[in-house]
Amino acid sequence: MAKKRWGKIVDLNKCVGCHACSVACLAENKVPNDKFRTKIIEHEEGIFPNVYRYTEKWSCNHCQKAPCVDACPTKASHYTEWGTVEVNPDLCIGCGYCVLACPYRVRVMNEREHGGLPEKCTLCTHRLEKGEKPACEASCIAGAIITGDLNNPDSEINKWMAKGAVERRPDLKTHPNVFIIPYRR
Amino acid sequence: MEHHFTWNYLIAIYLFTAGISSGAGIVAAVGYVVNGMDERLKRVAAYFAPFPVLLGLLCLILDLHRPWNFYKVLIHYNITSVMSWGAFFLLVFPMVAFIFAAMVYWNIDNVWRRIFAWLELIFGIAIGVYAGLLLAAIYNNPVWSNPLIAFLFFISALSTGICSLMLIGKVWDKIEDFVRKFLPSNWQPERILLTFDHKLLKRILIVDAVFIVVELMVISTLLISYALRPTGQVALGAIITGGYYLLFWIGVVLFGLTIPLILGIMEVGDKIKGGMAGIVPWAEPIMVLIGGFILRYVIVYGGQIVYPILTYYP
Ligand code: SF4
Ligand code: SF4
Ligand code: SF4
Repeated sequence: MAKKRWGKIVDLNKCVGCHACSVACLAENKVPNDKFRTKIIEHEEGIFPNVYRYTEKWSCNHCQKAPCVDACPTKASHYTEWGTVEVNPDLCIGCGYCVLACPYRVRVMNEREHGGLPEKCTLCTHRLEKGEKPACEASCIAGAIITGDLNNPDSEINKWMAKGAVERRPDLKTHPNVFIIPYRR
Repeated sequence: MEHHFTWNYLIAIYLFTAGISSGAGIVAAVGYVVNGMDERLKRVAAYFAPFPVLLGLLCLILDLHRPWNFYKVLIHYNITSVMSWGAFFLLVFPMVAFIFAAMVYWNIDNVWRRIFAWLELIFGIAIGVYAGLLLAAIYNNPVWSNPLIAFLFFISALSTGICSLMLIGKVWDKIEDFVRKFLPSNWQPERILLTFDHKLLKRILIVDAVFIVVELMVISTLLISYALRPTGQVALGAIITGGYYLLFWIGVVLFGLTIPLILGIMEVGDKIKGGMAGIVPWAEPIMVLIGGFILRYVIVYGGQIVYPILTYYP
């Protein structure tokens, strides 16, 4: 079988901004104090009186051409066999350069007493490999998140792809594995 | 908007001290490569160059969140990472600079000293340019992602480098007397008196005035190049109007560049007399050094309060 490429799509038309994914992620991944791997961004667009609001789940995009991986001096930030981006604690010196290099600002440094690693989404590959859904997807009350193998043409995620999923900031040429279905009024 | 600072003043200290070492190292190297510079200046430069960057390195390590893994950066390299290149330069420069300083001190004048002079020049430029490149290489940051940052830090490195030489040069002989007490008697080379006199200080002030003028021009170009970009408002908002504007205008432009420039020119033209005479060779370098630190501080913090524009739907 072909190599897997794990990806994720967030449908902004379904996301209701309830923070369930954010909290479930903290519990699943034992994220230290007051740090987040995924958070909710609120958008307010349009011109008065035609303004509208929507929310967006915001986390690592698992770029295939990741500025954080390019920036890391020790190759601690690296691509996994599934095309996702993770940090190897053995090599990480905790310099914070990846946090600053990520153009999406999804990383944050943990304090020294909490291990000092950059905190970021792993796409819950530990769950995906067991055939389970990532914590965020499993907890989403609106069914706005789908993860799966982008290399498998029959996967559910590829059906969502066909519904108009796009990259975040394609101008940055980071080629993410995480997509969104933009909000449509 | 809440700001989360990943890098703090320790990084600013590192950028500042690396610049001083770079500037001093380049002065020493050029002095011995071209063989024309004032003996006192190039000697003091060679002795002084290795030290500031060591303080900077200490700050870098103190800033790491996993300092116990520090050595990994010296054995695992990543060619796409500017920081990885920097780690290499920061490893080599102090070694080269110490060996070169020892050769100068013990008057070893052979082909090896020429080789080390060239190495000091190359690695001196490398650590000076690297300091700014570390920030300029960051992608999609309205303040940092600009090659002029590297150029600005380099010019400022030359300026702060010779300014620290002015200060050190004035008290050099006292420092040397102190160090000599710790060297064994058969290791003591012939004494060369090196303390800078007023004539030499005035010549350095002229050179520094040139650096300051160039630096002011680079700063103006940088601000214009910010303004010409879609993210310009954010960048300028952080540096010249909001956030750090007082530090930038008063600390860097006025106190760190313009006033020292005027003082230097007045001193060279012998316009300062009476009670104030003799104060400029102290005041000018001290002001430039403080301004140089504030410049790095403003850029390091300013680049972190600009949240990247998060509109991404084409
Ligand atoms: S989103 Fe940021 S942290 Fe995630 S892979 Fe891309 S550059 Fe790295
Ligand atoms: S904090 Fe760790 S993962 Fe990030 S760039 Fe530094 S060494 Fe690499
Ligand atoms: S995939 Fe896992 S680590 Fe990533 S945001 Fe979802 S729960 Fe958190």
